[in-house]
Amino acid sequence: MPLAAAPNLDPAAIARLAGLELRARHVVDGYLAGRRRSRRRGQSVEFAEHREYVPGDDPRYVDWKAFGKTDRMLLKQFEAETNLVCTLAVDVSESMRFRSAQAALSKFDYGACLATALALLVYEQRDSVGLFTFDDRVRDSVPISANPNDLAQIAWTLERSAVARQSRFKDAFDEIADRQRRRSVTVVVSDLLADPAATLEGLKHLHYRRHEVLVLHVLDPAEIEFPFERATRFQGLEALPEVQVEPAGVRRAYRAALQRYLDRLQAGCRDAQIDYELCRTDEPLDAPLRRLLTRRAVHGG
Amino acid sequence: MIGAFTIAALEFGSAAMLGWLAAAALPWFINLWSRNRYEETPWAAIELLLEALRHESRRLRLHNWLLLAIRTALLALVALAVARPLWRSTGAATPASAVHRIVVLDCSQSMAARQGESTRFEQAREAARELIAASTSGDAYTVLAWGAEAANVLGRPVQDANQALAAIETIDQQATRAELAPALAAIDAAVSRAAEQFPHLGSTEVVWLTDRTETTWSAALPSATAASATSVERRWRNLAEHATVTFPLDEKQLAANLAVVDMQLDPPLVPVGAGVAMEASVASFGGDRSITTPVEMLADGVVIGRQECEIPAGGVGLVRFALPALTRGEHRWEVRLAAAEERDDPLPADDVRRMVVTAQPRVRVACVADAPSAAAEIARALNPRGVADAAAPSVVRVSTTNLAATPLSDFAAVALCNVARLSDREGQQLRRYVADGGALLIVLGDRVDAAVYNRVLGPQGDDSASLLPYAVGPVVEGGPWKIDPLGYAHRILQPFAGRERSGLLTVAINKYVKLQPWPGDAAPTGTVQNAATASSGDPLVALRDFGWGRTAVLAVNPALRGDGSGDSAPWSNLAISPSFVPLMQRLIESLIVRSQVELHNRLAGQPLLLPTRAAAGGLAWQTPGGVSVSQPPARQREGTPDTASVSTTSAGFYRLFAIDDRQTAPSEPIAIYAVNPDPRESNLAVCDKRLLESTGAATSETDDGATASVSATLHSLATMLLLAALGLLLAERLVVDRLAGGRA
Repeated sequence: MPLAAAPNLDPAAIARLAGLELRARHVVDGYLAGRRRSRRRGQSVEFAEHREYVPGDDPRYVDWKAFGKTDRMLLKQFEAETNLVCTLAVDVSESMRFRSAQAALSKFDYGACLATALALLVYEQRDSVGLFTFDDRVRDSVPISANPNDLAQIAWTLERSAVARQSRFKDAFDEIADRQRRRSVTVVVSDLLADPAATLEGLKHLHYRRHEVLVLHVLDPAEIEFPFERATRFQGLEALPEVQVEPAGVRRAYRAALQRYLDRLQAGCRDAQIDYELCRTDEPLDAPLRRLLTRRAVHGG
Repeated sequence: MIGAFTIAALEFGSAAMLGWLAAAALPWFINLWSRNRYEETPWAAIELLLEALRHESRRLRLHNWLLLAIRTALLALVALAVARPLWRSTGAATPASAVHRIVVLDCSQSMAARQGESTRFEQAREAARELIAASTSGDAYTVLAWGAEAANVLGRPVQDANQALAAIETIDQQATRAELAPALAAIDAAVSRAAEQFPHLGSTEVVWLTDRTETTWSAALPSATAASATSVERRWRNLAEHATVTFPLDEKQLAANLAVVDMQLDPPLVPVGAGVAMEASVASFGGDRSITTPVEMLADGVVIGRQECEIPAGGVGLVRFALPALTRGEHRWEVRLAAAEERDDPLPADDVRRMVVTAQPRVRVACVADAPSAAAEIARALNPRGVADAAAPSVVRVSTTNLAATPLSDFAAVALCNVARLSDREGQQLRRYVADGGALLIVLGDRVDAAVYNRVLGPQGDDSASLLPYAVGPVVEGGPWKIDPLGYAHRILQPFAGRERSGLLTVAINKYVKLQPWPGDAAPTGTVQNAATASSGDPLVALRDFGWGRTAVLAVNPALRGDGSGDSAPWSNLAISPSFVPLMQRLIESLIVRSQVELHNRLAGQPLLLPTRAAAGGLAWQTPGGVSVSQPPARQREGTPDTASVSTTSAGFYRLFAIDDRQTAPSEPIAIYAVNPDPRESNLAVCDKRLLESTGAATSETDDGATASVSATLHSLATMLLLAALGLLLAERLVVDRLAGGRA
C-alpha cells in the first residue's frame, strides 16, 4: 500500500531550507514519520562484537552482563547491522546543474539531497556510508564510516563540489569500482545523459565487482515533457552544440527519442540486475526514497 | 479607364485594391524576421534533441514550406476578393433560370425626342413589350416609371407577363427630369420585396430603357474632382455589383436641340399699370453652327410680339420683349420658338416656356418702428429719391403702437425696424400675414427683446412652424467683422458678384445679434437660407419660407444714430455703404417674389402649393390636358402649406378652382400655375456607354435598336475567392495542428 507523501517534502519546500544536511534530515524525518513499523525487526540478527557505549546509543543494546563483569558500558553489535556498506556515487557534471522553470531544485540539488538523506538513513541503522563525486572521473570522496558525525563531511563535500564540464560515466564508474575494497551497496545518483551503452558498461563493471548497484536516475520534468512553445535556442551543456528549433515541431520526436533512451537504459539495468529508479525533480523527495527502500525490503536487499 | 482594370474576361471593380496583393509577401517577411526572434535556454539532453531533429528535419521543412504557401495564397485570395473581380460571360442569356427583371422605363422630358419615325419613349416602351414577351415563364417583373420619381407601377413584383405588359401601357410620357437617386432607391426596394416574395429567384436583372442623357447619368460616374464617391455613385456601384444591368436601347446623337430655358421679368415685380420687359433665354444643345429663329411672345394666350433670335452654336441667345401695362391679377405669359418643323427640332416640347406673374398695385412697404428715426435708414434704402412713381416702393412708417390696428394685407412687405417687443396678438397678426403670402423683414438691434421675439415669433408647438429662421440670441460685440457673401450664391447677393466697388466687402460690423438654430428644429430642407454671414461665421442675413410668404432677418442694425437707449454708437457702417440701397431693395424683392412669382412657376415634378385662402372649401384642378382633378380638403399647419393633389408631370398651365356647395365650378380660377420642363432635360447628349461599362454595367446595342436581349453578364468572383480563402484558413489550422502534434 503506497504511503501518502508528506507535504513538507515537496521540492519547493525543501528548496527553501538552507544547507544540505538540514534538507536531508528534513527528508528523513518526513520519510520516517510516514513509514510503517516492520514486523520483522530484531529477527535474524547475530551477535558480532562489542563496542564502547557513546551517548545517544540505544540503552537497550547495552550488554549488562559485560557491564557487571568489566564495569564498562559495552554495546552489543550484530552481524546484520554491521555488514551493510553503502557507497554513494553522485554526478557533479555540468548537466546536473540544469533546472527548468517547472522545477524548484536542479538535478544536482535534488540528487544531493537524496544522497544525503540516504546517508542519514544508513547512519541511523548503524551502517557505514562512503561518498564519491564524479564527472569524467572521481572528483572527491568521503571514506566509508559508520560514525553518524561523518554525515556533515558528506554534506560538506557535496555542497562544495565544483561544477565540472563533462561526464564520462564508464571511466568514472570504473574508477569507483577500483577504489572500493569492500563489497558495498553502490547508489549512483546521476542524470546519465550520455551514450547508454557506455553508461551501462560502467554500471556493469560495478556489478561484476560484486557491488550491489542502485541507480537513481534524476531528470528534470522539462527534459521529460519538453513543454516549450516558442522558438527556442537550446544551448548544449558539457560542450555540446547549440540547436535552434520550433519546439512544437519536434516535441513528439523528442519524447520518442527519450523513451527509446530510457527503455534501453532500463532494459540494460534489468539484465545486469541493477535496481533502477527514475526520479523527477518536481516530485516530493521521499517518493523515490520510499520506492527504492520498499523495493529493497520486498526483494530482501 | 475609370476605377476598373481588365485582364481578358476578368475585370476588377476596385483595381486599386489589387495593391493589397503585396500583403501576400507578409508571411515571408515574418518568417525571415522570426528567425532572429527566439528564446534561449541551457539544455542537458541535447543529444536527444539532435536525434529528434534528425528524424523530423525533412517533415519540418515540408510543413514550413506548406504553411508559407498556404498563408501567402490566403492573403492573395483576400486581396483579390476585395478588388471585386468580375467574370464576364458572353452570349445570349440562358433562359433556364428564373430571374427578377426590373424594367425601368424612362419617361422623362428628353425621352420625347424624336428618333426616326417615333419618339425615344415609344421605342423604349416597344422594347419593354418585347422584353417581357420574350421572357421565360417563372420570371418576375417589376415595372418602374422613371421621371422625377420612380413609381412602381405594379406596386409589387408579379410573375404574370400580361399584368406587366398592361402596366407598361399605363405609363405616359412626362415633362419631368429623370433623377437617378429615387430610381436607385426604388430598385433597392423592389429587390428587397422580390427577395421576400419570390425567394427562389436566382438573380436580378435591371433593364434600363433610357436615352442615357449625360445630365442624368453623369451622377453615376466617378467624379474627377470629388474626393469621395457620392451616395448615388456608391448606390450605382452596389447595384452594378449585385445585379445584371443592361441598356438595350441604341441611342444615336441627335440634331441640335433648341429650347427656351429661362424667362426673366425686368423688374421682377410687376406693378399694375407699369410697363415691364420680359427677357427670354434660348439655348442651343449639340449644334455646331449658330441658328437664327423667330421667337414669339404670348400674353394670356395672345401673340403680342415676334422677334428673331440668334443663338450661337452650343450657346444661349437672348430676346427681350416689352410688355404692355397690366391689370391687377394673375397673367399667363409664354415664349415659344416658331417654325419648329423647318428646323427639324428633335424635341419640340421644350420650345415653349410659360410664366405666371401676379400684377399688384404699387408695392407698399410698412416700416414699423418704436421711434421714427429707427426706420429712417430702411425707408431711405427702399425709396432713396422719395418719389411716388410706380416702379419705386411706397414706404409707410407705422408706429409700433398702431401695428395691431394696421391692416397688413394692404402692404406687400412689412419691415420691423429694431422694434423692442411684440404682443402675442401682434405675433399672430404677423404669422397670418406671412402665411397668406406676405413678406416680413425683421431688422434686429439693441432694443430687441430676444426672449419676447423667440416666444411670439418662434415655433408654436405642433400648430405652427417658426416665423423666424433662427432663434434670436445675445448681442455679440468685439468687432469689426466683415460680411461674408458666401460666394454670392444667394439671389440677393448675385448682382454684387464681381463688383467689389459696391462696398459690400468693406462694410465693418461692430455689433450684431447672434442667430442660433432652434433647438430640435427640423425645418424642411430649403426653407431656411443664409444669404450672408459675418466673418465670424454667424448668420447676418437669413431667410425662411413660411406658408406662401417669406421672412428675412437682418442681424445687424443699420441705423446710424442712437435711439435714446444709451447705446449711441452705430453697429455698422452698412447704411453709408454704396451697397446698402441695392442690398435692401434686393432683400425686399426676394421676399415678395415668393408669393407673386416663385410659387406660381414650378418645374415639372415639383409639387404645387395651395394658397391659404383656398384651403377652407372644396377645390378642383384643371391640368394642361384639360383633365379635372378634385382636391380633398386637408388641415394645414400654419406656415406649412398643403400640396396639390394633382401631379405636375406635364408641362403647361394648371388652374385651381374653388367649388361652392352647389358643386358648380366657377369660371375664374383662384390661382394659376405655370409648370415648365427642367432645362437640363433639353440637353440630349448621351452618356458615353464605355464610362457606364467601367462602373460594372453592361450595355447592349443592336442595329434595330429595339431588341432587349442581354448580351453580357458579369459574375462576381469575390464570394468564391473568399470561400477559397476560408478553406485555406482551415487547411492552415490543420497543418499547424499536425506540426504541433506532440503538444499535448
